[in-house]
Amino acid sequence: MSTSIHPEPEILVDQVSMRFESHGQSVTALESVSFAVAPGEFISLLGPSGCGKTTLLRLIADLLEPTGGRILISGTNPKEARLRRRYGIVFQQPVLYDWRTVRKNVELPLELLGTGRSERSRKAVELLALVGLERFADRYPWELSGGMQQRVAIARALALDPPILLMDEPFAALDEFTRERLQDELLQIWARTRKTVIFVTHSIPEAVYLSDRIIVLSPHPGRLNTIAEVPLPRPRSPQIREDPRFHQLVADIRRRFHHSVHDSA
Amino acid sequence: MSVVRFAARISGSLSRWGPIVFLIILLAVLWEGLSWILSDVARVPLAQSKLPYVHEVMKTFVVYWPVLIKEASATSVTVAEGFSLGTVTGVLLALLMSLSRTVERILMPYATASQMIPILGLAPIIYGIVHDENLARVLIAAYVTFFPVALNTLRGLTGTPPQAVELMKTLAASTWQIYWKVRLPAALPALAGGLKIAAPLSVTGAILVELMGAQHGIGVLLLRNLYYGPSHAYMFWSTLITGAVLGLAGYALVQAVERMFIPWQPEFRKRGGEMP
Repeated sequence: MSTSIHPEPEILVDQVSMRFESHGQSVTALESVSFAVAPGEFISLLGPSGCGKTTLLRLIADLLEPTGGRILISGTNPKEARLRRRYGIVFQQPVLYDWRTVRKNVELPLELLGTGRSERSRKAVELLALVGLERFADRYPWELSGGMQQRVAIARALALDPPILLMDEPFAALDEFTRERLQDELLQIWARTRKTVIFVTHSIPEAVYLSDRIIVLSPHPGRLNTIAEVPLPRPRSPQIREDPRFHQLVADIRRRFHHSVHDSA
Repeated sequence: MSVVRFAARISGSLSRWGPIVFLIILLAVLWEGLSWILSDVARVPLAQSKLPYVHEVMKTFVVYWPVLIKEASATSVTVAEGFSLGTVTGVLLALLMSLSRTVERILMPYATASQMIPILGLAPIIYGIVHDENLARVLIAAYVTFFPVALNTLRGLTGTPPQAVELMKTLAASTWQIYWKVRLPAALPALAGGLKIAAPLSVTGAILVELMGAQHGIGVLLLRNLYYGPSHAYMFWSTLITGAVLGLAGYALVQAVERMFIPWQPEFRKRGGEMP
């Protein structure tokens, strides 16, 4: 299923380091992290706070520039990839614009591209149907619950049909029930659209449930701990959460964390 | 059903307007009582100029309303022109300053210093330059308007949540698109705040300039009644109240426009909770 050796990785992270300078002090957020992501792969970046997982995602999204190493996205640098709109992004907060209806929020990327009105509207309704919100197209974001808002953000990220979907702890602010429902919806969307997904999370079960492979990061400074394969069958359904293999994988990864924490402590 | 709804609406508006009406009546009664004490009990000289009878002031409203309306509309036109000019200037300044820190560093001290000059001293200077009393009034109204508008709009533009701008970057939006689609809409509530400060200010500014020699306007009427002394005390007061009402009307107008064009602000949202 997962293809660690692929002729052309969709995303290549090569010896990437990131140092932040603040108040004359230099903080190393990431130290020499390397991995490759194959097209269509679902990858999680997993680790405790301070491991640099969000920094890593922001580097891939060209919202930050690495102080060392290089990142290649479909063979180009992150800036080129951003300008060519190669990825859609979902943050922990939905970041919807209050003055736009749900439909208009989803239309925004198409608007920036100069797509015509009717085409925009058609596409937005289609995407809202994909996330099950077509009935709420003409509502305002603040009229929706947190889970619904995050679905709108996912629909918006898919608006330009980019090959890559970047997600920065998208479900962290939601309650447990909503989170599990959205995880299943995300898997369905992924199965249908076959995006390459990079999903940042600090939840081990979430990473195991969703991913093909998990990039496990250790904190202070952020560095690669291991890359864990998740050999659970696809498509995954909620029953897998009760599967002993699932629990075994969660336990394995948790143990790695404890080792690394003890190492660095 | 509809009767019940009608009753609910009546009681709703009663609970909203009741306290306000009650307060106005209470103030009027207090005022009337104090006025009576000053003039008929304590026999203070020129008591009616200091605190006139409410009913006498009301009487001048009834008799002289055509004059008051005429002068008030003269002032209103000035204010509307100056307010518009000041708003446009303020917004443009804010845009320039938000685009470049250097521009902000250059312009801000002057904009701030400009507000330290007393209007009373500035008005004759401006009149001396433009030699047109009407234009001078418009410019002064614009002058008091632009600063709160520029300051608030700038705050709104630069205070746009970073993530809202960041998302636009991930969509490869141009600077122009980021302004037009995110920063400007996000700055609108702050702009409205500035306009609400500026509206009454531009009214008082315009009236002040009218005091310094104009043909028409609330200020002219004030000055004339002041000139005639105690015999015109009631008219003076009703003119003053008209000026205040003008300022209030400007404020209310801005608020109505705000409600119409910036309806997404939290305070305008319907209550009733979120959806499941």
